[in-house]
Amino acid sequence: MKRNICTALLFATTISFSVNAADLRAFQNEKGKWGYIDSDSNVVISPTYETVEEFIDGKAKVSKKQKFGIIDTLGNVLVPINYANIGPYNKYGLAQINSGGKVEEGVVSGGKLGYINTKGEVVLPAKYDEIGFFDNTSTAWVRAGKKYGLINSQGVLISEVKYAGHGAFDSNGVCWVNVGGVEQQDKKIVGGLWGYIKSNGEELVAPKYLSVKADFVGGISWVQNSKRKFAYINDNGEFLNETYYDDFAGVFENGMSWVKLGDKYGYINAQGEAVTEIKYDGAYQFSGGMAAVGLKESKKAPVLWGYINEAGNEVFSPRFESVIIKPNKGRAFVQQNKKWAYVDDKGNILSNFEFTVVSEISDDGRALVSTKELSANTPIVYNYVLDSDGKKINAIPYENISQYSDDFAVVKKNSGTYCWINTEGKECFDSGYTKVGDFKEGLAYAYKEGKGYYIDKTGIARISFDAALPMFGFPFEGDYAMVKTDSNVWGCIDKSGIFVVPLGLSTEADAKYLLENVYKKSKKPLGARYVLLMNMYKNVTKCSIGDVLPNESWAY
Amino acid sequence: MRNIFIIIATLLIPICAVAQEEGEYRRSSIYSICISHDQAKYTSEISDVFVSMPTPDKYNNHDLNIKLVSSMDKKESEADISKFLEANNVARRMVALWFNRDPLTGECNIDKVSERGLYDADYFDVEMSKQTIRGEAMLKDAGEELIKNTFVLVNDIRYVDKEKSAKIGAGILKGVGSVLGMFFGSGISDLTDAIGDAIEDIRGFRVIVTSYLYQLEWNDEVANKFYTDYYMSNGEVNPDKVKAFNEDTQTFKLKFVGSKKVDSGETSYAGVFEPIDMIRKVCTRSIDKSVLELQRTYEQFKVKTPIYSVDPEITAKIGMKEGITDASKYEVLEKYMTEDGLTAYKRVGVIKPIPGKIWDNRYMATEENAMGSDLSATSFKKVSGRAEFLPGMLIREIK
Repeated sequence: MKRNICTALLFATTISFSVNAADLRAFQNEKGKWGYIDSDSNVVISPTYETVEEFIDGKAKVSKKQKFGIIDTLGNVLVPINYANIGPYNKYGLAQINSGGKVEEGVVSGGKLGYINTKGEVVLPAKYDEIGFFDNTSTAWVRAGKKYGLINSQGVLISEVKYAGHGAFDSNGVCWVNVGGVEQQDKKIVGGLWGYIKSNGEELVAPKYLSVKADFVGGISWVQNSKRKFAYINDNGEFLNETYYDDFAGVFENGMSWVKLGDKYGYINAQGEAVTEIKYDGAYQFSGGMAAVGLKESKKAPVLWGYINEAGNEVFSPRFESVIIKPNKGRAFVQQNKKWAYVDDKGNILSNFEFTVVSEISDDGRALVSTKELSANTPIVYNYVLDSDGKKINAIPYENISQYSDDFAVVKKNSGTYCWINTEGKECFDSGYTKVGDFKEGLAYAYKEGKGYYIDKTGIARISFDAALPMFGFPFEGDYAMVKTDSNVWGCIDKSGIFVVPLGLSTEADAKYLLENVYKKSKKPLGARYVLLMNMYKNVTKCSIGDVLPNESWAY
Repeated sequence: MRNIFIIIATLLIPICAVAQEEGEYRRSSIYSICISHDQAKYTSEISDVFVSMPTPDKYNNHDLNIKLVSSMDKKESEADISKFLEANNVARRMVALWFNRDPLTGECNIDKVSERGLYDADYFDVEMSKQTIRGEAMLKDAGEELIKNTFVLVNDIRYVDKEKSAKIGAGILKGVGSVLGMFFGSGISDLTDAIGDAIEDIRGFRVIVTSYLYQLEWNDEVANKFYTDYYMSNGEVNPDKVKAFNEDTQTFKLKFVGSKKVDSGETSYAGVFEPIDMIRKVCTRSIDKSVLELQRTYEQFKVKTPIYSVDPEITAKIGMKEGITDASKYEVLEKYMTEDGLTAYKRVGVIKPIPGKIWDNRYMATEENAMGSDLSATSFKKVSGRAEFLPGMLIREIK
């Protein structure tokens, strides 16, 4: 009962539709062969075909002996009827042809692929095992055996079919290529030589390197030569300088990259120029205008650390036990005798060496620090906030302080209750709350004594609701906020403090699902029934055809 | 029947005048189920793809939570499917869903009828409270046009196993699980490893879909029974009514309309980025095709689509997925109210697509760079009828 899919489709077409502007209609003779008649039922094209399709732009796909071709409205053969398949035309006016493939039950396997254009001309001979899809550069990769080549939107080959692998073209129309490598089962290429190709088919960097970076970042990439050394190149394929390095950062940050020759480090800029001598024993990328550099006095001596600025000058000569590697806005921390001090990019030490733990430095120069001795197993807590001058802005240490959000930081007081401090370190809205959240878009969550609140930046409760169970309210996203009890039961409230999704859901995702898919359609607070339904939906979606399920499983 | 008018507090509306955008028109409602053949290859992948599929275009989602029905047979029979639907009282449950019936308390509302019927809530409210003939007609209208056009579509999707040529490496599916999690409850997380390990050639992936179509029987007798004996408004307490509805196995029925079988045949690999995309593409296109065949064969399942724009050309948001060819023809319908207050349609013209301006809206056509996939609607020209058509008028395919 093998039947060609095209034939099957044709029955429907023939019955229901005329076939083109010329009003040709497919018909079948008593021997089962197909041809075309006009609107007066005159035979225009004799019934000699096993299958036919409708005319599109004056051309129709027909078949004989399971081979396909294309004819015009006069019955002239435009594409010889000897292809195992001819696919639909794509937006470039190319249709895929398959030569030598086997058709079984409507499925084509094997064979070689190529393209014909709308005139029926073969623009890409059918000799490829695979043709990829056209990407944003209007090119596609073709594969013959294990080698790839590139075609343009006319279907014309614009590179040799010689690559063992290729990347995806980036926004500048460049991607990596490999010759001589072997494609592994996971599609990774091993071995061979690497380079870059442009989407016009020209090689930007001839594939002669052991390795290349997958893509260009900021117009810069790198290559690795046969001695396993690295050099930076720009997007014209030119070297930034003539040096091959033993190691390097691989990318430029703040226009700088560390590089290594032998066992010493130095820095270059994005033009390839030296920013420092290559003399350091350790180096990190630039951050916030500084980079951590290390030096040791002798081979066996420990590395001591300092900072350089973007001019390559040492702000702090390498003399500290440690420094942070992510300075920000000209501020950093340096460590001596296991204690940290706050420093600036002018070489000033702004605080005492008294901090056991320090946080990242915010964009406004604030940092959280702790003066407590913390053991390895103790959660990190901060008890002071430093301003950008390294001054403690809170006079009394707290149990813990969170990062600032919307100019307020949550603090846990020694009494165990929570409030906020502003950027001057002044306590705000201290009402004995037992749970609070960060400010976001002017509102922060607070909870005490069976009531949940969202207070504004003047401390006024704009939203309040009964919360019999202790619960936490997340920041509002638009008009709604998720709430969660201590036992991880979720719901959702609106800005009137109404539970639009009742408590009772076991995950935030469930609560969001009901919010988005049920509540937002009806705009009516959901009853507890929806929690019940949601839990049913979650647990039962499949049964056996012989099952008679109880009402509970169906939910309705 | 009268008490329903007192019961319902927040009702709806008569027909909106003219829908201006795609989406604002009355659609049939559909509950789609997939028969999964647990012993066949790719069963779990096909099932996962199915539950993540959106409701077929031009229909309202009327899904109950059972989306997958497993079968040990190679192919299910219409008799077994009908038996399953009947034994599980699916018809009754679909009516309950129409009225958002609470299974525990029996309380109902007509929010869904309102939403899908595009009724003006305030106006309907007034009519209802007055218990007018007009109000009764509205409810009847909703039944005729909405509840009656409720369907169950059971898709028996069978993978056609055959030897393949090229191979795809294991592990290629890693990371795609997350995109499937559109329907809660599906065990999608297992999918990636399952296929990755199989190292199948997905290019020849092919399925045969047999779609069985059932329609909810809703007539005056059934409606009266429901409204009189089972409908309970918010706050009403009557355990006997709740029990009676839950045990009613006779009133609500599904009628078998017919079935269609389609073969996915060869599906272009173009635009497929991961093997799971190929499964999704083949299954989605096949179901689209079977839905199209059912629409063409069974008048009651045929969809109407609004005209999207009329200037500079008449356009509608349908295309090759809906089977449009150069030779297709569509009647243009104008909606009006009968003297009885029921919605009716009359033909006011005929249009046909403009060759070369047929939208290829088939699943993943854009990724294939298929001709017409860059359009967003199909353009039509007038064959006959009124001097001017308006956006929102409905069109329906004719032979």
